[in-house]
Amino acid sequence: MNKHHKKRSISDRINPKHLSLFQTMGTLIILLTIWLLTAIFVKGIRGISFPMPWEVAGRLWTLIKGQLIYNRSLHAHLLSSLWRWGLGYSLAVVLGLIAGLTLGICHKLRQSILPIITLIQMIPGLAWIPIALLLFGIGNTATIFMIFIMGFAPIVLNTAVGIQAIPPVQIKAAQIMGANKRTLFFRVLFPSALGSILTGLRIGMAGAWRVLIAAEMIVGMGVGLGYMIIQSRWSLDYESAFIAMGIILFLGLIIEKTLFGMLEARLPYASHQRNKIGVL
Amino acid sequence: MILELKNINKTFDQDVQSITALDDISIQVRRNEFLCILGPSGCGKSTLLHLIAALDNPSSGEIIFNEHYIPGPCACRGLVFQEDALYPWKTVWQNIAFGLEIQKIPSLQRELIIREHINLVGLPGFEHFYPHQLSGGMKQRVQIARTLALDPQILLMDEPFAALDEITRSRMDEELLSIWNRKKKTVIFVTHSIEEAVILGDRILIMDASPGRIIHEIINPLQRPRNPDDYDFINLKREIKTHLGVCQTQSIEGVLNNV
Repeated sequence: MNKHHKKRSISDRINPKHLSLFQTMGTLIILLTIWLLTAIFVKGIRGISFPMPWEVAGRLWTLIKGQLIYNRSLHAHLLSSLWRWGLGYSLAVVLGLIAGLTLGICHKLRQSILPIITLIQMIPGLAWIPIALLLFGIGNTATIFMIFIMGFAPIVLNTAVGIQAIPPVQIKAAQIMGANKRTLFFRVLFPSALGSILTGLRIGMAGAWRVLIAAEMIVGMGVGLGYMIIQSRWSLDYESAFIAMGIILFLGLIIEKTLFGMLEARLPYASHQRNKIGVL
Repeated sequence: MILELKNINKTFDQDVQSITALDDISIQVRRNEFLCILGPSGCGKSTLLHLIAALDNPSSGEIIFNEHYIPGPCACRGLVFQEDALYPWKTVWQNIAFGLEIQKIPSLQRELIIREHINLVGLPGFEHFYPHQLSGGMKQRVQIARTLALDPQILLMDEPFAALDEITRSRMDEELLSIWNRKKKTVIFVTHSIEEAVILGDRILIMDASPGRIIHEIINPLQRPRNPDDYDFINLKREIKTHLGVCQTQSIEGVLNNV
């Protein structure tokens, strides 16, 4: 019998499946507590009623049942936002990957163009509004342009940098093994940049999603989750604003978990860098 | 004679001045010879190896391989790098398969070759591991397997074990010798370890820096297997140190006489 039992921490003794369930529940409980405390605090100090979780849930139920809000159903607002985001982000992905890969393999082009992309990336989403309006006027195109540009810059940057980051010996090894330029690009450079490309897609996704809401608030077309938030503010229907925010969070989470979760599962070698060190 | 280098010079242009990395290097390499190139960092020994692999061109001089000039990189002159040369997104199996796929080896034959070389370097059971799951020594075995799988005529090795700890390095040296015995290849092995050069080389070329040049050639007289604790082994190391101007090799009397 081995008597030298290593002292095990609490988290070691729980079944890993249960542990992740506990962790998710923990996150929810913390969020709800913060919400409740904020509500109580606001009511106590400022004397204003702050939407409580159950009030928001009730309002959500009436909206799901089909009650119109600002002349549209909830799912019309939702689909309209999703559609704009999908179009703008898809454009950003396609053009961003093409531009990023080109800059990654062409040194001279990279030196003159990459600084411009870096600058573009530093401009906050809302600052694009005047340019978007000048270029396209009020309407969908302006919104989609803003979504595109917020997604585009990080995708280009991370793709180009990812290709540059390959250790030179890996290129040399391929050359010695007889790789031509095509093989070198498709089977060495591109796969080596995939981890970084994924990061770019992720940052671009988040940026595009955030600016979508902001753009809908200002250059919107009278429909969309952002429009819903800004209208609720004017009509003091704060529960609806909370619902819109919740939907935005939820969709972001789903996109993150499904789309990127799937992509990442195909890169098992890229995830080893994340450590699991904890004191408890 | 499998390889001949004639009066190789290599200069790198850096800003205003140019640096002479290699100064008038001439080497003749016999078939199946184990040649070690020994020298301190910055003596241009890696540059020399890259020139032989045709990853770079000499500023002047000729490289003749099997009586022909070399047009460009070729799997017939395989190169094992110090580290990071495996593709992290490929498993051990896929890393070895990559070169064979480029060479359009039919898949049935490819599998046989991969299997053979995984066995040769002692890694059966690790086929589906990714490089980050392997130790430094295992990664270098995979690199050796990947290079040998393409059946090179010359195996070029650029300080392949320099990043390993001393114990692992000695083991790898021994394994390399046993592979060399079985496969009978010409090997050019670059190292900065005197002991490693003496253990491995049939012949040792000693290089020194600024400018990078060959300062001495030693035909290794020691019988294989060689034991680093033997008197002759230690003597040979001392001789090499003298050529490299490493002072501690002088006897106490010698030091006193010089005072």
